[in-house]
Amino acid sequence: MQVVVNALASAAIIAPAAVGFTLTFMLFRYANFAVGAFVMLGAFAAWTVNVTAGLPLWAGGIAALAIGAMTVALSDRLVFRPLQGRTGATLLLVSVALSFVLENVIRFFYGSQIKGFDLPLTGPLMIGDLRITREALAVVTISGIAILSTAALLTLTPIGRALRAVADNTSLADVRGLPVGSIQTVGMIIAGALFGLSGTLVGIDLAIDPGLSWAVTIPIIAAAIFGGLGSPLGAALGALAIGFAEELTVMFLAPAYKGAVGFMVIVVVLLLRPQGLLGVAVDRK
Amino acid sequence: MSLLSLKSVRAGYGSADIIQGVDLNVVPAETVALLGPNGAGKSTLLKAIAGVARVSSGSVTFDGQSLTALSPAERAAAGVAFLPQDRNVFRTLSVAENLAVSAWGCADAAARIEEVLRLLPNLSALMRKPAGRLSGGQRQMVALAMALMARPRILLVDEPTAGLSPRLVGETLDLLLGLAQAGLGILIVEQNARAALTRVQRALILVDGKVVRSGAASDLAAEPDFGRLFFGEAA
Repeated sequence: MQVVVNALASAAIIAPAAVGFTLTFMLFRYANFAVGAFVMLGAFAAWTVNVTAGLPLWAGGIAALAIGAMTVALSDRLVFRPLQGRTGATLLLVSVALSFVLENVIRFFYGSQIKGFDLPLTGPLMIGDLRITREALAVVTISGIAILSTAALLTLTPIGRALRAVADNTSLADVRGLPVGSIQTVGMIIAGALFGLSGTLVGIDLAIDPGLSWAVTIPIIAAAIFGGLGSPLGAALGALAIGFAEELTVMFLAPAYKGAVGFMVIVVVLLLRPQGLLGVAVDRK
Repeated sequence: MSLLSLKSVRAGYGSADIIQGVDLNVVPAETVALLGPNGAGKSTLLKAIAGVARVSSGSVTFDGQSLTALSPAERAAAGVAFLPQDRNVFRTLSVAENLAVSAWGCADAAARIEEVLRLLPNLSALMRKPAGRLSGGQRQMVALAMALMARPRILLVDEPTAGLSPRLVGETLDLLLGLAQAGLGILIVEQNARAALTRVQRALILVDGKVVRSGAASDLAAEPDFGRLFFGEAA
């Protein structure tokens, strides 16, 4: 049972970012490997507000959402939108380059030392033998609310419908009168906010340093691939699967192998079910 | 006065012009068919008017306003509705969502949906279904309903009967004719030339990107060598 709790906590950290990653993929059909860098930026934004400015972590979280949204929207406008029409492989490589740029900008301003949020020390909640930290409870709750809110936004609101329509068929959305460019920007802002949220959540669980970027990139992308690229619900379920796989690895192998889980999941899914759990198989033209 | 007017339009994709200088007029409540063999440029001409294909020279005006500098979305807002032949619905959205999203920016979306359902009552039973799971005929009706959500003044319809049963071919063309009687201008690309000519008022025959013949539909249909001259049919 403790494994379930730990897996849920691990999944909750990467789930918002995995949904953001798949949202980006839905809209532009490329894998944005800068996802980890955006998460790392969110963590540093939250740390700055929480530790440097001395404000509560919830204020840091809001700053992380804002910085994430702004950075992703800006990178979309300045880097990816001008390259629209290039192959997915080109955009993927550009996103890797962007990731290194962002990581080194953070290194320049903050150095490479490990940082942590200023959180009050609290004891864990004990339910029988089950040990649940208050931080883990908060992480799971906040992540759950964020995922459900994103799902509600995508299915119940006009902008959500428009986002799904643009993701489904950009050319048709254009001739049906939808402002495609503006809708894509809204999608990027939502994705960026989700990256920022994951940044705050990851900072609660792990140490914050510029190397965080690549540590979270593979699990996030693995979760999105497992769930089926283009399926936000699938991405959330994929995060759960990665969380479980990581915890089982820690339990039965060794914590050192935890980082390899994401790679293994990507390889296995691509071999056995390339469309993922909830994705739809498409013919390559 | 012309609702849609094309003068010496050359259009295509990339650097290649498929349309080689076409003149065309459509007035309100008029139905005009674009006929011709495969590869003649019929669909490209519709796409050029809708803003999807590039116009390299000539003018496209709608209600006196030049469309040339407008995006497809701006042309849709001006009253030009284009129904592509393929991929003309959002397959992952339900029928209701397809209609709602096609009324983007309209304050009276619900009223428009009711209005469209009065015209196409069969859609009422399909509203919750994902559009990707509909039959070809149902999908065409959803695509038409989506185009009507913007209350257009001209419909550019690309092969609406492709893949439909003979009964549905007639029904679909009659439905479009009904819309024209309500005041809509209709420019239709149709492979089923004879079925189209019995219903539309005028037709243009396009070969290799040029209009080689135009006139009243009844006159063109009455020409004894119509099929052989323009479609390569056996005598």
